[in-house]
Amino acid sequence: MRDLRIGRRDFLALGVTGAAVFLAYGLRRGEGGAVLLRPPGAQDENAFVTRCLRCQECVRSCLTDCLEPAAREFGTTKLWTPRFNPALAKCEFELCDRACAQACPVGAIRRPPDDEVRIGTAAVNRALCIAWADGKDCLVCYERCSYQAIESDSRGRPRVVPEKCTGCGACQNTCVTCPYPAIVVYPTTGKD
Amino acid sequence: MKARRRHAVHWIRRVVQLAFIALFILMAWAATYPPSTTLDENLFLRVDPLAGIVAGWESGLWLYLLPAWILLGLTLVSGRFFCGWICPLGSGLEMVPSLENRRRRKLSRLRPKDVLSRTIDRGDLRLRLKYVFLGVLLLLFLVGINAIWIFDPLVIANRAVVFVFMGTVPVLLIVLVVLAVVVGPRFWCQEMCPLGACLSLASMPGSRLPAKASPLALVKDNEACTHCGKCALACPFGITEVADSEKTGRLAMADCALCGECVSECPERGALSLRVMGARVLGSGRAREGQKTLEEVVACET
Amino acid sequence: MQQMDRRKFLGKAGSVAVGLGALYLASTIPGCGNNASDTCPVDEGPGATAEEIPSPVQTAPPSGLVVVKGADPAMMLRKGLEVWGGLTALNLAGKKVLIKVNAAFARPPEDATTTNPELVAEAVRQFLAAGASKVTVFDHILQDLVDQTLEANGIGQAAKGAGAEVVVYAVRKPGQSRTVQIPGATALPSAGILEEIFQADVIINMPKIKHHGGAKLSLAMKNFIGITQNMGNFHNIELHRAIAEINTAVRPSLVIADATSILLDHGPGGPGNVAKPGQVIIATDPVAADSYACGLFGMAPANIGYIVYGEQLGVGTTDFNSLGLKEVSA
Repeated sequence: MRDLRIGRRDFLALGVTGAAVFLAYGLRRGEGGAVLLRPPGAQDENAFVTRCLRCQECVRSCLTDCLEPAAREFGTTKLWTPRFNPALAKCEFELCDRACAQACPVGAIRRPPDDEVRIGTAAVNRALCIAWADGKDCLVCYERCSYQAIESDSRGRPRVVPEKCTGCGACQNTCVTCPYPAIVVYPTTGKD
Repeated sequence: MKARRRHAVHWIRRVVQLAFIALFILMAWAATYPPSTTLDENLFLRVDPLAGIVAGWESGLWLYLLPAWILLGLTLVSGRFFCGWICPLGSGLEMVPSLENRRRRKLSRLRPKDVLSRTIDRGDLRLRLKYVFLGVLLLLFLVGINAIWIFDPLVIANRAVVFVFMGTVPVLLIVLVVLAVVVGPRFWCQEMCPLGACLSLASMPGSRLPAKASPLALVKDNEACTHCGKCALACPFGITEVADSEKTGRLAMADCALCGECVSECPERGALSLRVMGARVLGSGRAREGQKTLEEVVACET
Repeated sequence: MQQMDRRKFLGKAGSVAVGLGALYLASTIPGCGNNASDTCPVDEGPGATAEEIPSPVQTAPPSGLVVVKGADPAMMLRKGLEVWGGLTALNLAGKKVLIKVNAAFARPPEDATTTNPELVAEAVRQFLAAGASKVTVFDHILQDLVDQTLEANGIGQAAKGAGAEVVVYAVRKPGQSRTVQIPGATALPSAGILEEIFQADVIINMPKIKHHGGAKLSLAMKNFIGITQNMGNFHNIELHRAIAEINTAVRPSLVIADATSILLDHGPGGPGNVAKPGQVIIATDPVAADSYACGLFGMAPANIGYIVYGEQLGVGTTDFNSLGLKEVSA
């Protein structure tokens, strides 16, 4: 079995090199600071990342195309897992019959009932929001929120009502402030 | 270079492989909203036992992954035919123009017996890297680290197809294609693929089953065999046992993918055949150009 | 399995290096994980002059307001147009008509957030009967899913059923537009106006009269934000002045304001309290129509910034009574 012994050494050497470079590739992160949200029903991050095959079926099946493969900046362990990015579109989980959960071959995306969906919680950045910072007439986030999770205060400035926010991302998607929106959905801490 | 007239089994298998590749791409393409009620777009992934392991033992999911259990069952009684006939990644890599083909053509001018004495691969269950891979991946998964997504061929293929639709570069697929070009078309399948390892392992308990109990089996008739070695040279998986074996009956080798290339190359009529439940569907024949027609080699004998 | 020697090992190491190099290179290609972050929409599109925008058809004599009260929107519209008497003067024979509706929310018509579909259908029928070669029901909405929205608010089916073409753009996907300079404008010196506006001969404004959290009320003038490619921009500058200024650039030939039911609070998206004044307001002067409509909420025109600016910039007059107000029942 001499040939096999040499082969295995070579393989291991190549494998270690390859794995090292692959990990290094993942560790080379982008400019960071970006938020990683998951499809509705995949909020238990550790359980999700352990199951997810990064097969892209959910990304492909989404009604509004609001999912994308997570970029390098989130690390190798999360590379190509589905990321919900409100910049792309709102998550219409009430309309799509949870196409992402249906598409997942390993059940990594669960199906909580509609009223229990909590993708994250929106928060207004008062330094960026033109209503807060510049006194402008803008409430487009409030206009688009279909869960009444944003209210307008006496001076026409938006405030999030966290208990009602499902994290659908409509507000972030619509915010007129660019390139960084003034209202952003953040993952809610703790398991659902 | 003379054009070689190939045996029917080679073309039939190519057609089947291309059909599955086309189906695979079609299903990935059709996986957009809304979910289809007729065509299960993630069927290829659900047929994958490694995905089944990841999904775990959960009610509902066990049934959802029924295609994987069916595949394991068929593999148990036949062998890793999935690799030889169905896997879109393996099939695609097999059709990549490879430096290995040039190497083999050079070798084929020598007498096969001289070539084969250099290497022996009995195709049996021995410690190839893919088994180490499989073991490492399963161990890692048990402690909560999922690295299966990097090495599962169906996931690699699915991701690559979706990435191409999205206009992104499918990097892992490119790495595998480079590997296939430089080392050999089925190098990944034979030496590294954890799904291949899983299916090879699954086939071993059924290795003693006779051909008539097996939905697809490679059968040798040692009386007709001249031990010329052409079959071993033709094997994309590099298995020499098919030439060396003195058995008459089913050859159940762990790493044999039942692709039938050996049957295709064998010049002796009836020495090798692919059988379905014992019925000879495709048998080897005199492979001289213009000598055989499709009707003559496809015979149904019980 | 072929035997491996030094040379083969180097060959294999080389191929792995090539593969990893490809991996590295691929990671720098945009699209390979460099996901799209929020980019600022740009007013693209070739420049266009004001002359290319269809002017309102002058109907003679100058019309006042017609307010129709009733329960059946279709009947109310028919009666209203009859009393107004200007339909023939619009000279629609062979013309392309564009109706800018409010289809912005996926709520049923009874939630009073979008233009009543029966009213839209009747308007389409009336214009086709008057000889229009084509009627387009148009909007640019704050939603991702156009088909579902149009199905929920009923406008899609109503318009198509009556024989109109429906063109509605989603929030991130506007169609082609042309950039128009707006003379004398301080808040909105230029705007990307959607191509369909230029393709039409006659523009009709069919707003939903309702409460609006951001602008106080959403009336006729505000409805015209939706003819632009970059709607968000209105908020970045000065919302009320910008609304008035876009109405100086594009003037409708007719305003048919839907006050059959009105959303009293939690506008523009609702749900909220709905009142049923049961009125349809027909006018050629958007400022006059809006001035009348704000009275339905107990407000005066001076309360609404864009109405005040609209009068200042010559879009119309807040003194609708001076134009002549006809109230009829249907």
